[in-house]
Amino acid sequence: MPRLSRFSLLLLLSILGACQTDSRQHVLATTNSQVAQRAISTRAFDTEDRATVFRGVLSALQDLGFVVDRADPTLGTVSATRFGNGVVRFTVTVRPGRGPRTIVRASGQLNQHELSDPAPFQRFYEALSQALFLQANQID
Amino acid sequence: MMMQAALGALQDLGFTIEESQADAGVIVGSKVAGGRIRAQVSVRRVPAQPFSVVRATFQRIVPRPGAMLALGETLDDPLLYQGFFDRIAQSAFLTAHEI
Repeated sequence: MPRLSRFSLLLLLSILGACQTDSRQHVLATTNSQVAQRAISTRAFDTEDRATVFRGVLSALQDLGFVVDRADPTLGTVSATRFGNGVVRFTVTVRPGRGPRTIVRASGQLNQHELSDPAPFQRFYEALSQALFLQANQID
Repeated sequence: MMMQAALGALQDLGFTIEESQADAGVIVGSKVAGGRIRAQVSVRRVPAQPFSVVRATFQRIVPRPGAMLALGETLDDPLLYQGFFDRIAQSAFLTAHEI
């Protein structure tokens, strides 16, 4: 009997340990490195008019079929959701850069997975460029 | 500055932002990975000091089909928080370099 309870305790501990590693991985695991992910999801626009870029983000998201969940002009964040072909949740941040530049960074999840492929970001920045009549410059 | 860094770190980890209040220094994000994971980051300036204090809390929400309320837990793995603060430090560096 004591052996059984020791065994079950051991089992319980290992399950608990696995849970912990699991949630750590769930939070911290990413497909790309931080730098690589930013390179595909960040663009710079040659304007210092952050408010216009912010409004451009809202209309670009709408053009792509998203509905905005929340928009915070102070910090420059927009979160939006699109349904159809799975659930896409998208967050865009607009921050001032050095000189007359505004930096836009996007991130998102498709169903259970983060967007780690450049294609959806390219589509978003094409829509944003069109909304702003400005070119989206790669950052390096 | 630290707000932008925290925001960037959450984005790096695939979180979408659910709530942000720049004045209050609070950001809440969530992502779906083995259930829903919610993260709250609060940033506050230390008066008369050149640094900020960043605090994070992670929760995992476990859905219970048919139940009215979902079950949740606060994640308390020190390595998770360590890893997250490393991402914030990296994010602060990258954000400062406009990446």
